[in-house]
Amino acid sequence: MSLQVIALTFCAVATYGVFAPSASASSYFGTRLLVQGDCCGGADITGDRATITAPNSNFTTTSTLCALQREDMEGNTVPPATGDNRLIQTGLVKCGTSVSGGLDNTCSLSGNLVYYTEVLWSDAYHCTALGQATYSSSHKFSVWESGGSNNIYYTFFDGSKDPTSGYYYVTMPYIWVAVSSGELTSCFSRSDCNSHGSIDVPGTYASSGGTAWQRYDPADSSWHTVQSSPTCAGPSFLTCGGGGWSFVNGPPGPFDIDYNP
Amino acid sequence: MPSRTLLIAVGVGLAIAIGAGVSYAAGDRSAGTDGAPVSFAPLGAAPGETFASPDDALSSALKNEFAGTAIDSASFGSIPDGAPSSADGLWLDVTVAATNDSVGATLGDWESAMLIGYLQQALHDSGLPQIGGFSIKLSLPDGSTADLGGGGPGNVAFGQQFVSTPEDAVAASLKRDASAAGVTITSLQFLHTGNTVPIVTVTASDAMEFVSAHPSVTGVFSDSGPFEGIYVLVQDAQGRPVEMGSASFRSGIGAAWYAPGYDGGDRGAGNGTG
Repeated sequence: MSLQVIALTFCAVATYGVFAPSASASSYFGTRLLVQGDCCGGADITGDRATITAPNSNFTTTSTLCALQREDMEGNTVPPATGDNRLIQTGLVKCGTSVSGGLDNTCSLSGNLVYYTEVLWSDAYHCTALGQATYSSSHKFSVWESGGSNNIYYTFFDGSKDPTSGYYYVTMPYIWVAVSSGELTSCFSRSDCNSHGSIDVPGTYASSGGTAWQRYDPADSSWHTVQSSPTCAGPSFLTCGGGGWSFVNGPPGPFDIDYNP
Repeated sequence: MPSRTLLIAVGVGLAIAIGAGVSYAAGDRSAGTDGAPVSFAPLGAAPGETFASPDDALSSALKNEFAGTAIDSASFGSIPDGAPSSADGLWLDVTVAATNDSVGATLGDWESAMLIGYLQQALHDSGLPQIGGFSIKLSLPDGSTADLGGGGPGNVAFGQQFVSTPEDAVAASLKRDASAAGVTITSLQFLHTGNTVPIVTVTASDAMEFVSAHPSVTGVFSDSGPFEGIYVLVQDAQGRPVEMGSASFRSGIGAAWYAPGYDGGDRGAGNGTG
């Protein structure tokens, strides 16, 4: 990867990129995390998916916050974690009406709840809105190396690739994590998030009647329901529970990743 | 950032008042994924230049509107295995140069999104097959290339009416927007697509505070729009880039970049925090 990209790539320590939190345009997460190599008997993870049910009603996102619920795969171009970081994720996002420019300057510009796809390459996040989301509706969101061992990860909406959905694939040879998570952007701590105003992110993952949270194992070419997850295996600032985030129930059954200040 | 000559662009279609708080941010598709296309501006623009073939349209764009950009090459190729493009759709392969400045390939990345949207409208106006998908590669200083990814053209409405008023008038409006946000425009150039497409560099005296308050920085200039696209680079008082925001409203793609330390240090792939 180019020198400038390398220069901009976050400093990495061991498996995770570990960074010192500081104020600004960061995010605050409640995350269920599968770490490549550490979970699932060391199986490779080349996809994750779950049905995500949108909140029952319009929820408030004030000030500069965007709230997301997503399925996500993250990795890199070279091992270990020193190359160009990559990710691809899909789910739901709603930004506060005062967030000029929405998420990544395009998604949820008018404070509406939308389906989205986001990719990271060249250290820049790229978002495309996939359509207006309906409250209480359930859809299956997937990220998957569907072509086999070609390192190309696609997003899927209800099991289909959408040819008009803007960015929907990324080349990512080395996978680190598969993630189901809630996210608040533009804050870095509970107090900072709270300072932006009250917000409740009440969606449900793997909701009843839908697809459970699953990982894809290329060894047997099958999806496997996640029985549990090392929810706090990430860096210390990754708030997996507490701090305003709560996990209601959990895999293998439906679970909520909520933020309730 | 490649230098561009500041030209007076004569717009086509409906003239849109600038500096008068005009903002159109419907933004996201108005129905489901099989629903109505996204629109970011009023519809009804008159058709633009027409072409005899997709290759003619692409060649013209590269020689004219996108000359001098970071796009190294672009060509129509075969649809990759697994890509969800329709059989009669065109597949556009784009290679952008990795520049040697500290913001990497973000400018070429945005210019690629602009090219895709521009071509999509031109092909539509010409009655030619549409772009079904695209891939983007990065050309590295050592001559090698790196695959980034790609996707579809975005389900965006045709005939959006973007700001096409003269660049000096747009410049005055942009400066007012910047002043209202507490920053100063230190460089202003334009991409010449036929509409007025700003490439803005602003300097913030308190960069951390500004970035924190403007995680999607293109919103600072929404009152001067709707633009066909916009690229905004934020520098600190020492001239170091700290944030980039870009949008391409014919392809429906936006992007954001933050310098290390300005993303709070905890947003990035590889740890579940992307």
